[in-house]
Amino acid sequence: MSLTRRLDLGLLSASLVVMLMLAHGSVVLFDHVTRDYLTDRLREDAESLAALPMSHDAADDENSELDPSRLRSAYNQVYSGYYFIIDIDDSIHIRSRSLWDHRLKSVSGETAQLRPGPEGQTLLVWTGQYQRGNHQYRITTALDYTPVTQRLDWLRLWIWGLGGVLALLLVFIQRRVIRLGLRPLERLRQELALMHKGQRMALETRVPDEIAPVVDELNHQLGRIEQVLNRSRDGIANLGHALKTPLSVMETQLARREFDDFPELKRALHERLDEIHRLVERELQRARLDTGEASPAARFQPDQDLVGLLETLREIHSDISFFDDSTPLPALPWDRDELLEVLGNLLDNAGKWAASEVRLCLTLQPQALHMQVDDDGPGIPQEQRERVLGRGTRLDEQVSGHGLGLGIVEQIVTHHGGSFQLDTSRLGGLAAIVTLPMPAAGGQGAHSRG
Amino acid sequence: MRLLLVEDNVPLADELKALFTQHGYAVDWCTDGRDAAVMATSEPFDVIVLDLGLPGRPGLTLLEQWREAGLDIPVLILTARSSWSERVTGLRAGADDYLPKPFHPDELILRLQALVRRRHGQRPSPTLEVADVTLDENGQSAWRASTPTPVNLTRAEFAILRYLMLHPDHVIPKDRLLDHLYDSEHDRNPNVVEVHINHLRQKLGRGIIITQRGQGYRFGGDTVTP
Repeated sequence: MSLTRRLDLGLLSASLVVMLMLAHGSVVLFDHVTRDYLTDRLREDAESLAALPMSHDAADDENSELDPSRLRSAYNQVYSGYYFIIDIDDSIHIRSRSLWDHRLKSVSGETAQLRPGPEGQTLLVWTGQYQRGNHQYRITTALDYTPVTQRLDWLRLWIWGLGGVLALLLVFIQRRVIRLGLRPLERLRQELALMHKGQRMALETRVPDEIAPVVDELNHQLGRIEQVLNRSRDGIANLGHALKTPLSVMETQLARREFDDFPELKRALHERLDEIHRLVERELQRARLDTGEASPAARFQPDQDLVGLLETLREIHSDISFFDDSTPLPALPWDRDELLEVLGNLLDNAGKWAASEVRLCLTLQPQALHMQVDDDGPGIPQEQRERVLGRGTRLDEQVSGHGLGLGIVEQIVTHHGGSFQLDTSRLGGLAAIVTLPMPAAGGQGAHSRG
Repeated sequence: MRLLLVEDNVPLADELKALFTQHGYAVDWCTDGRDAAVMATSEPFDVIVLDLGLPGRPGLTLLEQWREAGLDIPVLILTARSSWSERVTGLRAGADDYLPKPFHPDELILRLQALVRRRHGQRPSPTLEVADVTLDENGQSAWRASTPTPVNLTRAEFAILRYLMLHPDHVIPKDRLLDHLYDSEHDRNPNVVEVHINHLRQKLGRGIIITQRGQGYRFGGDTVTP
């Protein structure tokens, strides 16, 4: 679950709880205040009733009444919502006409209380005791509380609605704030992605103070890792190069006349030395490939680099004509040494086998670089091509070189996610075709190491 | 044939010295770049075998300095650095050939022969043919067209004949012959040269080498006087 979503949910539930409590609390408060106010009204009503003159003072008359014309009209309309009963000395009972057949009971207590009333009304009832002359009056007044309850319900709904909207607004605002706050983290993520592709070895994004120590520590560790990597890479390279001299010594010693008496032993030792050489070259190449992104200065520039390479090859294979059919190309986004290695090996191989002619053609396609080397030599039969590509096998021991060339080409091409094929050339010999996909600028680079 | 070997690894240099000597080269050996810089200009070498990772002065710098100074002796670079970009750099610095370690000794010798031949305007091939004389450099034997049976030569005989055959139209003073046949530490005895030349005449006919009195020796392939 993302941090934003977690914070969203947290804030949403918290604000909803607060809103609910607020709504409920304010309704309860309103209710309380309104009842207080209405209790005062009921008390006033009762006092004014107590002050009214009786129709006749015969206190023992069961049917004593108040003069209706002196009462508030609402007391005379049936179920109007205003009611009273007056009990005098527990013997005379006077009821408002509005009560009709509903029996209202007196209540006790200082504050008014809710009682069920007629026709689904809820009545707020209050009872007061008065002394008038030598009579004991107990006056109970009541009014319909339903309109208030209805308004309170309505109020509650409103507060809930507003609260909900507010909560959503809060979440929205918080989301914006979080996004703004997390923007450095997003940049950090992109930088890390670049680093994953080996384009960068340190994080440079400016981050808030809270994250800065993490980034610093990360950079520190990355620096260490790079150091260790470099050291081991250099170590492999030095070891590889250092091993070649003793290998040369042994090769030369093997050529001594003394060994001519033991051809079997000589051949076996020779094979072991070749094997060691192959392993050394492979690891050297791997160490070289692991250096990562080519700096702009180390990029392959066909107009300069091809000339030197072809010159070299013409010198090595003086009886072969090398032709470059490529159109002028800009600097290419691959390491100069690596492309020279690929082309050098392909051209050298072609030069060894060609009868008279080797043609090179580089074509830049929108998504890839296409390199083809043709020769007019004997070529390689279809069924043997697989084997040649597989392990850099030496096809012919007579031709100089150690049969490592094509293996190295394959290693480099695979490293860049490209393809290497052998085909029949239009010149009659072998066509070696290498296709390298353009390294993606920011997307997923095809890096299959090893 | 004088060869300067610039290599700082002693075991390899020992082996190479033996190998080159066996193939008729007179070898001088330097382990340090600075020594090599002086040596190459003071002695008349025919070919230089140069290692790149040298103490004192890097091999490539050395080579560039030689070429700048107008020294045009063929140079073969022998190095552990085998990548093509390094090869291109090496050849552009003025090397005539570039052989990555480890190498097969036979290949090294073939390349050296090719270098020397190319320098004397000859096509690289296993045999050196001048007039009616054929010299097999690998077998160290020679024969004439009239008697096509290979005659084995000693190392010194082979070296003398090869040098004369590479300069067929020149009269070579005895001193120069000595310069190219023996390394700088070897005791030079002019009489020994005369002995070897006599042996050559006995093996391949009197006319094979002509003595120009007071000037030196000349290859005389065509004058058939058995």
